[in-house]
Amino acid sequence: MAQAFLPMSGFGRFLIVVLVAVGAIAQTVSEKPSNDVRRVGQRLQCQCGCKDSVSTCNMLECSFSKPAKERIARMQAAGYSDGQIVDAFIRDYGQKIYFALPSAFGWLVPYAGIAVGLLVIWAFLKKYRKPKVMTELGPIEIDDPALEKYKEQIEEDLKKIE
Amino acid sequence: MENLGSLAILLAFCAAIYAAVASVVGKIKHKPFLIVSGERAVYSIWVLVTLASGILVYAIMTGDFRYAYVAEHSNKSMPLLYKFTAWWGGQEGSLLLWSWLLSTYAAVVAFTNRRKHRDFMPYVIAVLATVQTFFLVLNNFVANAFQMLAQDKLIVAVPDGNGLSPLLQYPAMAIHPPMLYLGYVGFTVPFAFAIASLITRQPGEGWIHTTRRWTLVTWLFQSTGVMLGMAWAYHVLGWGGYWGWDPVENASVLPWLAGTAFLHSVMMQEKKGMMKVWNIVLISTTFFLCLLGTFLTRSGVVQSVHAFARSDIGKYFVSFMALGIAATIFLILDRLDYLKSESQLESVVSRESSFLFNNLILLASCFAVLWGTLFPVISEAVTGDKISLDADWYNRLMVPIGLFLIFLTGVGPLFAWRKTSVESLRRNFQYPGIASLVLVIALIAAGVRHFYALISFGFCLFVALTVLSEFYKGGKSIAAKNGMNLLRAMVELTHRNTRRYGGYLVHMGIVLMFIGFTGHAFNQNEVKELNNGDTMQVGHYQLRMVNLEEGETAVYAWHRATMQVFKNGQDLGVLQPEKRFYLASKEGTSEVGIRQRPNEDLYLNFAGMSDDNKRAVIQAYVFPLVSWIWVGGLVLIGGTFICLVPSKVKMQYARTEVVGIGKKHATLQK
Repeated sequence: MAQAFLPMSGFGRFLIVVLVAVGAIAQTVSEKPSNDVRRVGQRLQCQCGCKDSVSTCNMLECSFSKPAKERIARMQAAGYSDGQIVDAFIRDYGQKIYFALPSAFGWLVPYAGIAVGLLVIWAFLKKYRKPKVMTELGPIEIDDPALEKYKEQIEEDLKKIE
Repeated sequence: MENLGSLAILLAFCAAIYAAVASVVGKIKHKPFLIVSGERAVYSIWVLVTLASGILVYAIMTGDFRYAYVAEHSNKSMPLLYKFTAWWGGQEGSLLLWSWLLSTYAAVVAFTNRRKHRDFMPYVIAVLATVQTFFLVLNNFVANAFQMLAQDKLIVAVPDGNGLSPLLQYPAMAIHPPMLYLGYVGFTVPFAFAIASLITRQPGEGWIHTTRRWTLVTWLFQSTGVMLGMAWAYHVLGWGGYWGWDPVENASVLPWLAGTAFLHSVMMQEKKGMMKVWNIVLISTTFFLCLLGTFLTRSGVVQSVHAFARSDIGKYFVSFMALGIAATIFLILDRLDYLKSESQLESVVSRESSFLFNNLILLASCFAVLWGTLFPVISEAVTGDKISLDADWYNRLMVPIGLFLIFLTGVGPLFAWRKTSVESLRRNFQYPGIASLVLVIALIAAGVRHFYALISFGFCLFVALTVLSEFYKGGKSIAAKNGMNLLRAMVELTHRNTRRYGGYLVHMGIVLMFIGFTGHAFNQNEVKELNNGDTMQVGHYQLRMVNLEEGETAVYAWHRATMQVFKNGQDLGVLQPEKRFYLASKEGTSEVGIRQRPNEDLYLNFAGMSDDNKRAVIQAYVFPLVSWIWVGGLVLIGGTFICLVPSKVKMQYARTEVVGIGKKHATLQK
């Protein structure tokens, strides 16, 4: 299971909270590796069989992710950039180890879904909102001669009733 | 015995096909004999699947290791309880459990409705039998639990089995899968009624009234299953969390979200005769998400730590879901004229509108989780790039959505039906709003700076106060009228309208859970290698290792640390985190040491031994407020139970008359 903090303000660490209806907010394993190690580890797939990233592999004492994290930390201490570290792993294990960054598309779609939902609500409200009662609109103006005929008929009928 | 088991599920498969065909043909050709025989076929399916399940369970309990399934998922040394849970510990057994639960539900539906809804019951039976047929196809031809071990064409037995994964040998985990399955399978019933209602062009809410309790019970099972899964992750996995956005976890929450939206949305149909199409869409979505959940768990199509469940069963699910979705969409589009809304909205500021937004947020959550679950697969298929979406990704997306949801939880019930006046808004929101603002200011003054945490605490107080004020105002009124004390009056109030006040309790449960989730913002942790006498500090706790032992039982080898806990110099006792290594399955597990308190948990995990095998690696965590998640879960479950109790006063909704084409066909149906 995975990491759960959300980078927030300059105060500090990360945050997180809440969730979805059930309530679920992700929690995580405590951070033994630093954030820098975690950042790079997310770009590498753990090779222990879990298919998770090096950062998020939950296997205790994992034979791959644990030494991989240590190697990342050592390379960072030696001044290697993120790209150079990832390249080093790809050289050793092949392209299969690389996890690409999620594209903006991945982010946009859920929000686009909410936008579409809002549009649907707007359309629903427009369609099903009750129109104002006629008295609020003032006397009815009838231009159509055909309708005028009916109006006269109604008035005559009403007079008879009275 | 094994032949009898195989024969039973084969006959059940035939009976399921017969039930579906006989019911539909009987209805179309007006042959009551066929309709009744279709219903009786449902009972026979239950008998046959129960017999097959009984044979499998008997084989597991008696250690009949000629069965491949028994040899793979149980062993002699397992306690009796976990031997029983091995029924659903593997793929073949869990799919048999699916079939058994569905056959049980179907039999209950057929029995309880044997004199009701005669116009559409044949189609209800047909839908249930069709779903049953699909699962029996899997039981018979894809994942048969009655396969035997053989050598040189002779059936043989192994001396002992592999045993159930030790991670699954935990009380909560013993009932977590059946609870989830009771939820997954249960949504088939309202779905079947909805489809039958569509087929027979029922314009009204008959199917909703009939299935309301089914839906609630199913939702209760689903909620309980999800909660147990969280509790299991927290207490057993040893990584200090309760939710990791693993695809299989997501699979369990997807139908829960859609089902929750449905439970809210049906009130619009009951009260106003609106959103009929939407309700059919929602219950269908929920049902197909249940299938998707089983598919994700069983297929291994997405990356998951639940590696125990991978197989090529996915193509069967995909085919069945594709056919089912296509048929459902066709039916909905074809019957649109019969699902017209019976009334209109009088104001945007009303309970009706709040339900719309509630549905939007729940569905947005559902879609976001579904998208996150499937996006890596879609991305790899389209671009060829593998990507990884971790919890950060989900949290950035879900935290704002979750906050908006909790806000709506408080605001929605305070809006009146039809129209809410400004005065009413002011009256209802003023004090909870001010109190929440004061809390946020006080928290800031106390040094809390986490933006989302502040908002979450503010909203939680707001919702809690609105719920409590509803109980208080109603209770006070009854107390004054009947001369009761306030507490008794509130019980009476709840009993008079269990659905409404049970619902408020469910909301209160959600609030308590959010308080627990918010506590995550303040987690602390430390990891250290310790030997006897060494100390470490986490938060305001000082920990000293007083003993490090190791040993071995017949089942597992273990290392145990005894940790003396101090807080501000005061001795709080000991915790004993333990690491086990199960000999049969060669798997390690953690027995974490937890000091649970309402304000925070101290959580110790024995992660392993140091490289030189001399010191224990101890992970220590402080989890503020986490206990409130479990308390909230219990309140949620209790509130749902109250919703299921019949109200003392029958509520009569003023309804607009059915008009137009719906009326015409309503008459015809009679």
